[in-house]
Amino acid sequence: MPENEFAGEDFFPKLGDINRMVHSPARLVILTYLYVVESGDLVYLLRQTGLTWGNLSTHINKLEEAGYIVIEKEFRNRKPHTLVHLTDDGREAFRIYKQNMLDVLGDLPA
Amino acid sequence: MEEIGIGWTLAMLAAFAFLSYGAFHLAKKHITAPRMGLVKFGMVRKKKLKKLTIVLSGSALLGVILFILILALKNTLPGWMLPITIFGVNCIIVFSLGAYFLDFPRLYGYGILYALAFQLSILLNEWFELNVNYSFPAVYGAFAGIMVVIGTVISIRFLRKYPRLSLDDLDARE
Repeated sequence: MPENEFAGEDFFPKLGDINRMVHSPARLVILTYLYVVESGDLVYLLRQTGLTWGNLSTHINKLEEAGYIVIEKEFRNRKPHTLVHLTDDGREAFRIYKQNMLDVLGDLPA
Repeated sequence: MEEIGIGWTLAMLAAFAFLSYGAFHLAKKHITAPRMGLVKFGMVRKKKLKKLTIVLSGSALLGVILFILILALKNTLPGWMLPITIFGVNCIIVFSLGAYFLDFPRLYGYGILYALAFQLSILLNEWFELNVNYSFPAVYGAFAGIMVVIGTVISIRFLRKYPRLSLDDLDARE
């Protein structure tokens, strides 16, 4: 076992477990907001995340392709309205990501 | 000046509450939602809001009962000082709970103003012999004016900071 506990096989495999789909800052902030609510619309995500519309749209599409979120179209007062919510897989992926990050960062010295 | 009865007073309060509730929903639909978006809260938040609603409803009911008591005893000073004091404390508790759970610090100040209005009206009545039919509306009107000015300033800032987003544009992304 190496003298430095933060080098070698014991520590770096944990970093390898980090889900890169979740780890991207833009997607992480989207998932974080969706994790604490049942669902939110695009305006809500746009305002809360501070992302540009193009950026938000791109990352939402990636998360949808990964199966982490579901986009639902509905009509409110005869106007189209888009709601986004986490899937069970997305919620679980976020929970695992959170635990992995806590494990990795928790092992670091103060 | 002819006094209106407790029944009419409560009916006016109920009508005002009904109108306020309607105005709140209209503002949410036409002002807040297009600018800040809509969100459905998760179960944890829903349970928390449910508990808060029960607590606030109970406190509001206590406030109404005390209000009726005050109106009924208002010609028997100092007999109505106790319900007035409890009413004031209850106001501060209700507003403080709302401020804390809704993360809405301005409500602390509004609670104090609301609670003080009753006491101040009585003091005006005692010190200057101003009829309560005038002192109550004057004090409540002044304090309500302060709240309206604060609310108006905050609303204007909000409207400037968050312009309305076109949902049609956003939904045309595909």
